Amino acid sequence: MGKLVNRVEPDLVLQSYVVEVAKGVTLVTKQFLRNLFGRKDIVTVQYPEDRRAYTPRFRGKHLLTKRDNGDVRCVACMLCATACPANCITIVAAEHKDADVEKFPTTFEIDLLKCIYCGFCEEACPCDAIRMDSGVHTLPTFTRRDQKAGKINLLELAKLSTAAQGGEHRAESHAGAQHGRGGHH
Amino acid sequence: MPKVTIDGHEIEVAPKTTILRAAKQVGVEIPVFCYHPGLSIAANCRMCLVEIEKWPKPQPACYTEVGDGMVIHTATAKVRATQEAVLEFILLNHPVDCPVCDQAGECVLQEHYVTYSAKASRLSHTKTGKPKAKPLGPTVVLDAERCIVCTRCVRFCDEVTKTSELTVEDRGEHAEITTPAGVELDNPYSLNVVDICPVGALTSRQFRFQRRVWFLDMKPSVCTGCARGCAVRVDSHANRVERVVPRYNPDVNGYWMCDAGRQSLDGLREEGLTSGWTPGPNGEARQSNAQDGLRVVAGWLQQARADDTKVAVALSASLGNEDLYAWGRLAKEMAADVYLLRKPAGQGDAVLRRADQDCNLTGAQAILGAVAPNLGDAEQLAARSGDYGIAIAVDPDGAASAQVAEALAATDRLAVFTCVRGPLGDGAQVLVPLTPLHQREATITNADGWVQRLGQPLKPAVTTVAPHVAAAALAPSAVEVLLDFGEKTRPAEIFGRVAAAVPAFKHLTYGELSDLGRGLTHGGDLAPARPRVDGTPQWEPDTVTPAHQRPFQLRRGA
Repeated sequence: MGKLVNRVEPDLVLQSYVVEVAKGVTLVTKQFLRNLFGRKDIVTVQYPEDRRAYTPRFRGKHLLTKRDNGDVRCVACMLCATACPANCITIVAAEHKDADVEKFPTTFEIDLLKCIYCGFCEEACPCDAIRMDSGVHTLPTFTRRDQKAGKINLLELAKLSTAAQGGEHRAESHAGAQHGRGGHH
Repeated sequence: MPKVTIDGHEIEVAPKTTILRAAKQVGVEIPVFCYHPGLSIAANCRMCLVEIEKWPKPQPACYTEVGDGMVIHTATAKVRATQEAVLEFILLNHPVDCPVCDQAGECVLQEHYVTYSAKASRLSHTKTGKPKAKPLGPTVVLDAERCIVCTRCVRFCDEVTKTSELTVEDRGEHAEITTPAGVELDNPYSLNVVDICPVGALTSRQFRFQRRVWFLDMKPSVCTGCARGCAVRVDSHANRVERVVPRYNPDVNGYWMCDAGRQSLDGLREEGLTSGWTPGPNGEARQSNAQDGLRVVAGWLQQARADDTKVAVALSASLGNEDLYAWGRLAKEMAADVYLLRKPAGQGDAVLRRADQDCNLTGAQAILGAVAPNLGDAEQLAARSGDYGIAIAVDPDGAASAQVAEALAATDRLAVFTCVRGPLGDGAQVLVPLTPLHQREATITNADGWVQRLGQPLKPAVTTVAPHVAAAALAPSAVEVLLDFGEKTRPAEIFGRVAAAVPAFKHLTYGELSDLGRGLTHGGDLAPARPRVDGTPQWEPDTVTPAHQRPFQLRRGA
């Protein structure tokens, strides 16, 4: 079923265009003068000088948080990589010199081109190590390779973790645990 | 025969059967930590306590033998309360560091906690601290905090290897697995303690932190490290072997395997040859794939038929049954002399390891004996190498000795089919990259005549060729006819031909081999039932189904 269009049969006045041109010029001039003398209802944002504020829940580029001593907070448990529906997180783990930390990532790479910014990784993280509250969105680059954010890149945006470190029981009586660790004689 | 009732199921079992095994027979699952079917019974974890009517207190199912007329309940409120209490005590000082624990995902404690307790800890004071990441020896690292002191590892070292390196020190919450002063956990079977540890206390140095277990691709296979042929499971990720663990096979290895076997399969990490070489127009070696190499060798063989050149075929005893059959058949059609290459003997022992390092020596002798009766050995080959115009060596692991390599290098034309670079291959005009055993379907026969399938745990590189396919591809040029299996080069098809041609294989079919394999016949009769390796009757493998392989369910406590 097509739609019937009512065509206007052009008469002599319309075909001369004089009236129609005058109408158009009037509309454009009116809009021009209105914008020129600063009306406040213009919706255009003067990006990049002006930027809109993101909501607090905006999921931007990922960041890795740090411990109090500046080390990376991540313990390479790979729960983010497990939860990731886009398979964009690659972690290589290694033994940490501090036996209390045990495990840390030597490589932590997020392929930002694969990432769908769903936030499952920060949801899955058991120690507040990966977050997406940087407020920065991913910038364009000239090569695909530059879109692979490594550990150093992710730590550039780093914040201090606000989670309690070392667990409830350990944190308040670490000395006791240390004592027990030495042996029991 | 005592008759017992377990949760309403009546069953008649053999005398001296424990409640746990009787329950298994009627399909009732009783949770355990310390019980392992390959070890003695310790009954120290108390997780398997069940109620028996007219008995005053719950009894450990793993230890208590059934009596006639016993009525057993495994899921009453009292049993549930006991299980919750046991788990609460076990978890009292457990660090619950599952996110960084390698065992997470295949941890018996995790599984039982979710199924039988799922309650929060009521502990209000500090947990007992114990050593973390403490090396026990060259292969194993202990995390004493995670240990639940089930003593499986202690019993393994006492009973299986009889080396007794491990012991429990101190008591109560301070109890800790340790080695006596000056002793290291360093025996040829040490990594088995990692496999049987129900929690993440014992970890393998090699696999530690490498990969979370739910990312692993687990495929049944067979170890090719020695003539025992232990049933294994190859765990890989992205076609790269991460670890190798034993798979229960009562007729071959029971529950265990040796550390050297694991390492031999770790060799699969380093990728095998993916390209070889052929002679270029000016005689220089030119990099080429398997197809190019086969074309050159086919040309040689075609020429040899016209010139009546003598051909020698040297076959490794570490090839699969189908490979040996195909090459033996090709050599017979060509009237070529066949020689068997063997690896130097290694160290054997009374537990599992065999001195004989060739994974398929029994199969090679049976098959080549039937197909190519005048079988020579490496020394004869070295002595007679001057007689041959063309020598072809199919030697995937580089088993040929320096003596053979030197003798064959003097041959006019030498073609080597292999997976690794070695002295023999380096002296060859044509080097053809072979597909390693674990990257294709094949069967091998162990020293006791047990035939098992390798199951192809890894994918092959496209530039390589399987030995039996190579033999089939050479046949039209070499002998102007196809081999007796024609163009059906699937191992299952060739195995059918092996069964038809070799008396010892005659009752076997490829499909029947399944995961556990079958025995060869001896003189027309089936192999007599041999004593089980670990003395236990055929029973369940000691594994908990990994969480990702079973439907998720969370049973919350009342």
